[in-house]
Amino acid sequence: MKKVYGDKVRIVWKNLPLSMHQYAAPAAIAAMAAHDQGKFWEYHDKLFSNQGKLKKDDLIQYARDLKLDVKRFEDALNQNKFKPSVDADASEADKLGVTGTPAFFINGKFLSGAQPFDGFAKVINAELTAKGLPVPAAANAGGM
Amino acid sequence: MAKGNQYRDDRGPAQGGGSSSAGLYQIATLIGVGLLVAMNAKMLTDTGSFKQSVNGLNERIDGVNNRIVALGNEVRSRAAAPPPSRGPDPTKVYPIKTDGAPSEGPASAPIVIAEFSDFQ
Repeated sequence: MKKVYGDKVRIVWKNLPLSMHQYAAPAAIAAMAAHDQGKFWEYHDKLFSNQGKLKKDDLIQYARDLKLDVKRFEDALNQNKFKPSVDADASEADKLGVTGTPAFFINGKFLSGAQPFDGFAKVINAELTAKGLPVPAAANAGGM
Repeated sequence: MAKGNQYRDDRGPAQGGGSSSAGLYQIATLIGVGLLVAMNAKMLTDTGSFKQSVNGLNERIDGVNNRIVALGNEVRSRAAAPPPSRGPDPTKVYPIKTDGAPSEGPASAPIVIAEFSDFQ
């Protein structure tokens, strides 16, 4: 996405831990604790490369690996400090009718996650055109 | 040849000794006719009940045909009905809250992609 559209795109993360995923909610809370310390995307990448290991000790270890303030991080986990934020996102998803992940809204237009890049390019290109902006050549060539 | 003494009985051969075979013929004919009448009667009643059965079967076939037509109509109307919608309407534009959410890319970017996802 970044390769093709560069700084024309801003990606915003919204938490939607699925109830069938036992470790998803604590992981989301931990990620927001990392966000609080300015390292959300690094923590996000850590979690995605360790999808099988999401127990509390793992979550704390990742904070340690990223050189976060571990005490502050651990306190946030124990106090469920960022649970309201995660719950608010999940509630918003529920109101929107989103039930599965990932779910994308491109300038508010829903796109279900199970799509190849071209599915995104189509919507993004249309948005750019509607705003009178040029579509990058790479986007027309059919993807990354 | 001499014709004189020949005595011919005008009563003919059907009388006397011939009379018992005549009776037999009569009885046989009566029996035969009786049988024919009885067979015809049976045929008529059989035909009548065959016709009834055929009518009954035809009625049932009509009933089945009507049911098939009704089912076909039902299938067509259900196939034509739009499926229940699942998820957000892809033709709508939804406002998504982005304040405080982790983000990557310039705040001024013309394209904002909100991603709802989970980590497991």
